[in-house]
Amino acid sequence: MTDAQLMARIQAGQLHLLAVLYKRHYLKLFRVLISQTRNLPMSEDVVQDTFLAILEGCHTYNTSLPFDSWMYGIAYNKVKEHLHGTTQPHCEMPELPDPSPGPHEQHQKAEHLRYMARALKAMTPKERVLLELCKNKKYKDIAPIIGCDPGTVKHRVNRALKKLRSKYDALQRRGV
Amino acid sequence: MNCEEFSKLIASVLNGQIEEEEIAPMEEHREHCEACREELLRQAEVWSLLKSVSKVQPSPALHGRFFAMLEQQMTERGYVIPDSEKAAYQKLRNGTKNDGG
Repeated sequence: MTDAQLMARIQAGQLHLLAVLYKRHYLKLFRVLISQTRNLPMSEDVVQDTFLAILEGCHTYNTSLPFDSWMYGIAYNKVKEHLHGTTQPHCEMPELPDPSPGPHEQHQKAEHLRYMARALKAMTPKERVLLELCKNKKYKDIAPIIGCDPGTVKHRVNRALKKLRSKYDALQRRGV
Repeated sequence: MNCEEFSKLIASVLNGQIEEEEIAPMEEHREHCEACREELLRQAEVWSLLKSVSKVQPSPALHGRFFAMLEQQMTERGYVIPDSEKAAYQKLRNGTKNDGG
């Protein structure tokens, strides 16, 4: 059953089917949120709030549109609410674990990933979420989520990737 | 296509969103421009690392909170899962507990 078909049944009152949508989408949604907020508890709260909002606002969903774009749009606004209203201290996302002893390549890969994690940390939340979304979503589907046209998404993704590389290269050069 | 135009399309190549009509000019430029070939390779490396880096998992408690919320909503609205769907729901509920994604 497609997402839109499930939403049509939820709109008709079969509330338990939200669990199917949750199962399909929670992890991607969580990863987009963690890339944006770098805050584990907040990201989990927003996942929860988003699915509650989906249930409460299910009648506002237009089944001719991709469900996940609608879902990300809700989540995007929920993050804004959390960031605006929050007084909780910023809770850092854990760094990647230290590389375990092993082959040289494994050690090197872990080093590269650590530089990448730090480079990402130096990006803005908007840039991080764009980079996360563009891993598996088309520019045209990202556009309504962040409120701009697909051409602008394309431009911003390219710019963000270049900036990321520049940060990554700088960290690698400094060896920190 | 010049170097600047090539550079603007690199992200689209890496995430598979390059337009059909952009492929041939890019290929042609890449063949003749060593600097852009290098640039593409470096960006590809960064893209590959980017895809590997964000494998953070939510806590197992997230699923419990979701199902508690859903079941509370169902109770408040007087909704009862049809008998024919109860087993599938329960399977989903239990399956998600151990779902690492």
